[in-house]
Amino acid sequence: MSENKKKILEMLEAGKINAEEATQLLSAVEDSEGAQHGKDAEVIDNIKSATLKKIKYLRVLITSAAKPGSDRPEKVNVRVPVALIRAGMKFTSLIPHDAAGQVEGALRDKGINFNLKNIKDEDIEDLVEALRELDVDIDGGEGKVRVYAE
Amino acid sequence: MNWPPMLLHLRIPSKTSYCGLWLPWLLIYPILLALMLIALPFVLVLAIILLPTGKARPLIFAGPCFWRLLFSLRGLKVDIQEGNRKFMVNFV
Repeated sequence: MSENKKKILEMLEAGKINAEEATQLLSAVEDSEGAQHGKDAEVIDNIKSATLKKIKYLRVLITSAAKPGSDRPEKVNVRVPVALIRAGMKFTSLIPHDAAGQVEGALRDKGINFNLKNIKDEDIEDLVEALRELDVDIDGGEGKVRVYAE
Repeated sequence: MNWPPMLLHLRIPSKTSYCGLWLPWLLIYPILLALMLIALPFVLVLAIILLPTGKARPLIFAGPCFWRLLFSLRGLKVDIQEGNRKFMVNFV
C-alpha cells in the first residue's frame, strides 16, 4: 500500500476527514499513481527501445560436409538487409485483388489466416521485432544450419 | 534513409578457382531513371485506361516500390563455396 493511501487512512482513523472525503482522496491518489505508473512504463519502454540494438541483417549460414574428392566443406552464407525485407513486404500492396484473394484462400486452406491487402507499417515493424528473437541452430552431424538476426 | 548500394562485388567461379569483379552499380541509377522517364507517359496513359479495372494503382506504385527495393539492396550478400569454387554477390 502506498504512503499516500496510508496517510489518508490514518486521517480517517483520527477523525480528521470523513468517509466520503477519504473515498475521494483515495480515488484521486489511485488516478495519479496510475498516470505516474503509465508515464514510468512509457519512459522505461523508450529507454528499452533506445538501448536495444536495431536489427540490420538476417543471416543464414549453412555448412555441409565436404563432397568426396574435395577437402573443403560446402558453405552458404546469406546476409539479407532488414530494409530489403521491409521493401519486399510493401510489394504485397501491389498484388491485384483477384490474385490476392486466391493467395489468401490457399493460405487459409493450410490454416494460415493472413490478410495480404491490409499489411500495415506497424505489422511490418512487429515482424522485424520478432526477428530479433529468431535463432535457429541445427547441427545435423553432416551439416549445420544457423539462422539469426543481427 | 539507407544509402543505395554503390558497388557490386561479384565472384564468379572459373575453371580453377574464381574471377572477382567490382562493378560500379552506381551507374545503373541514371540509366534506370532515364528509362523510367521515357516510359512514364506510356505508363500514365495505360493507368488511365486500366483505371476502371482497378489495376491502375499497382501500375503507378510499381515504380516507387521498385526504387525502394533497389535502394534497400545495400548489404545483401550471397556467398556460396563449393570446394574450390566460389560464387559471391555482395552489394556494397
